[in-house]
Amino acid sequence: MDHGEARRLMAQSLETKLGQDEERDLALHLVGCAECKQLYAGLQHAHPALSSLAPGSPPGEAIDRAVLRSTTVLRGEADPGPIARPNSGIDSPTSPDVFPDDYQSGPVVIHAPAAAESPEVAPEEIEWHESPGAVRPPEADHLPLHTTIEPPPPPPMLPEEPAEPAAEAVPAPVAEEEPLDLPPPPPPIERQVRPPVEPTPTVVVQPRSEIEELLDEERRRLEPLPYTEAEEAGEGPRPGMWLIAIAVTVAIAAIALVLVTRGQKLLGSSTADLPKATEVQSRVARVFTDMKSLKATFVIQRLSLYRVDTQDKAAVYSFSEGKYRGNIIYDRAEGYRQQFTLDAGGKQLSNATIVQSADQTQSVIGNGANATYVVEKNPPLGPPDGAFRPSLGLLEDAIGTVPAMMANAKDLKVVGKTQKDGRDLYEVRFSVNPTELTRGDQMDVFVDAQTYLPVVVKRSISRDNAQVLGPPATLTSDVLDKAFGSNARVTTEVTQLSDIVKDDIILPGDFTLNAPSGLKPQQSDGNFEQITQAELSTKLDFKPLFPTTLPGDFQQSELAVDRSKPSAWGPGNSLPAPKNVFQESYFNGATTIVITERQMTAPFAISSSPLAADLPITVRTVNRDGRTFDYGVSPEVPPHAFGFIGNTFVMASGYVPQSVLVKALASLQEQAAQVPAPIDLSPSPGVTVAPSTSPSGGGALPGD
Amino acid sequence: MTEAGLITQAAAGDADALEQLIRTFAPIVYAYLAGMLGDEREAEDAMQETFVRVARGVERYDSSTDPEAWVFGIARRVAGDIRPTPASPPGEVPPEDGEMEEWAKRSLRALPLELREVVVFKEILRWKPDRIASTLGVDETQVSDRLLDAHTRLADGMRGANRGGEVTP
Repeated sequence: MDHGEARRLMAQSLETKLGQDEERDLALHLVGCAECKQLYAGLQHAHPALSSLAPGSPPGEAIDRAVLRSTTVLRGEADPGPIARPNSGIDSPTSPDVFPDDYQSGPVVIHAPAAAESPEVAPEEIEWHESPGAVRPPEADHLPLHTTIEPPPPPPMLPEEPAEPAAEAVPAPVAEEEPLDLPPPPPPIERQVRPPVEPTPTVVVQPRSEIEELLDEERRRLEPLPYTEAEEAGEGPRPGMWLIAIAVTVAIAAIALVLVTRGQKLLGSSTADLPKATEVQSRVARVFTDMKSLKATFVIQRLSLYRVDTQDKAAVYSFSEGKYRGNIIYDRAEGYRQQFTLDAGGKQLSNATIVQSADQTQSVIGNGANATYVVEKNPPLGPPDGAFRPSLGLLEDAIGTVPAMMANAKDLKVVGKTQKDGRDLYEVRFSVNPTELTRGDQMDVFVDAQTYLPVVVKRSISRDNAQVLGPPATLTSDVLDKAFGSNARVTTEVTQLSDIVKDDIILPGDFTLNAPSGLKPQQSDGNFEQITQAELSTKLDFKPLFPTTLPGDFQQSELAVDRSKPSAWGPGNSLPAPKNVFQESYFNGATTIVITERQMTAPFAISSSPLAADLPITVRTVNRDGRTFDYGVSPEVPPHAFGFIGNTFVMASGYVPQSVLVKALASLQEQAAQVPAPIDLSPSPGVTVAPSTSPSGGGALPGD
Repeated sequence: MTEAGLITQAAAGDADALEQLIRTFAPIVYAYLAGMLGDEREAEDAMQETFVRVARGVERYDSSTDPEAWVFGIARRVAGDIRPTPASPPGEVPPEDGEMEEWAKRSLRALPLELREVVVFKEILRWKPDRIASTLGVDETQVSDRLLDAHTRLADGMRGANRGGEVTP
């Protein structure tokens, strides 16, 4: 091998893994050629150094200046020339008027506003109300197992707009919730013979969240000023004061007129320092796609169906507010570790620590000696073979979906700026299409003004749209009526992040799972082997399909093939064994789509979701490009679409709109060349992380 | 509206369309210019100059041209007009891990324009070779050759740094 060939292989090795022969030939050359060896060593340092150069983001003011000057030129007016920065004479890189650029490599620590209810909230701070009883939902024919609803008839989680306008203009102070005076519960409805279920206490939490505090502040500003003591005493203005009052009124009106017409120029508008909607959309998208790591504590309060019990193999659900409390350590190149508890229906439903990486998933579920410790090697990427592996854990759905919702919002407004704990937050409000994914029709998002990371996300929904909160078979209109009471709108979810450290170095020790001593792991092997694009032809016995229609920001992040012996699968192993199973995942920096392909001998009939088991999953049929797919939603598994392409059973799942999943399936083709190439996300120099065993994805801006 | 549609609208005098076009392209144009020039403030000025030239050129835009390639054609000319601040040579000791990013920036600025931009497209904007080739108006082989050349020079520079030398310009 000559120097030229060696250099070509060296360059190639930066992009792809060399073949065995090429690798050997290069190694042999390097052993005998000191110059190339030195060059190769240089390349090994130079390439990651270059890869570490993150694309900078233009400060919003810089874009505004470019817009101002360019539109001036477009209108045919004289070019005003380069518009300088307001502080150009100061040349201070730390000017508060300029957003920090993305070349900063240090961690950004955000002190999110203190949650009104901290994870350590004392029990007495929460009002608990017992449900007067339970009803069971009408049976749905397609449900494989009967389901019991444990309805709270709860007062809504966070009552908002009353159905009927209040008599007084001033918002009434938040009153303590009174237990609802509800009629006796209807008798249980059962599809199959089963013992009656004792009603379990169902709770309704009335948290005073941060966002409610902020909204109350706004309401208080709108309240009329209180009467003075003199007014309360019935003293009217003295004679002569009328003239003064009239003069003052005229003066105030004149000033007001000037302020209204010229105020923005004279004083600067109160909204002048707010970013434009398009900038917020762009910056929030970028904060996710550029995010290398995240440490945060979170509280997610979600009004949803929760499985509170299982009786006679039937799931017992409660439509109530559940509260996830925990923390997450996320590393884009490595995986995540999250620890959380879930309380709903008056008891703790879940207590888990999960550490996920490409090659294994470790879980400790439960407490103390009763805990279960599971280690699964080579896990699948997603359903239907196992747990979904979202990139942001519980925050995947709660926060990770925000960029896409913002991108689709037509009425997004930056309505204000709030300062909390020394940090500025922009309040952003927009409406969304109510779906099982958005879980609301209106969003209030508080983003950190420096990093644009959403730190408080509130979703609310009107009664008319509330059916999207759960399968209609379990979330009946009767249950919803009782849940909403007299309120036209309720808050369905509030997510609050605190103790945020973004883009810090994540050490391998941060992903350690401390299982209780003496607890033996239950080892299992998912038999999924992570493979590279180059290995597709050598490690697969069939030609896999790849989507040609995914939102442009989704990049292929992982490929895996099932190495286990083919066997029956699905609910009760009722579906025939496939010949091969292949999985591919796509990541846009905020959320993941997993596509599973099962090569079958022939199509089989399927009447419910393959994930159904004992879950209430609503399935609807969707037609796309002449093909028919089914789409399944459930409170417990990610949205998923499935169907056949030829003899291949395909399924796409992820926290993205139905249209994205169905389009992805409809576009599947044997055209590997059109698959977005994996992005090299080698750890930055100086960042010490355990070597990732999987290619990691990344991308640009998310969208629908 | 498509980006081509925005340019067409802007050519008809629609300032809103121009603004939307600028806000669409500003992030990648800025990232490109920041990578090319190695200085955020210079990049801001260059971005402003790029979009002024866009405003002046919208009437001459050929709708069969890829809007991104057209905007980048202008940005590339702006970058070519600006001589980046001369790069100081890397230190005489191998860069520590924490200094690698600064070393990479300085080394980039020392590369010739045509090599520098292919590195910026590939390593900073993370574009695929076919997109780079399309924007530069070359074939993918030339992109690979330029990348290899750039990496080799940078690696030579790394060797130079290890020996106490300078980056080969």
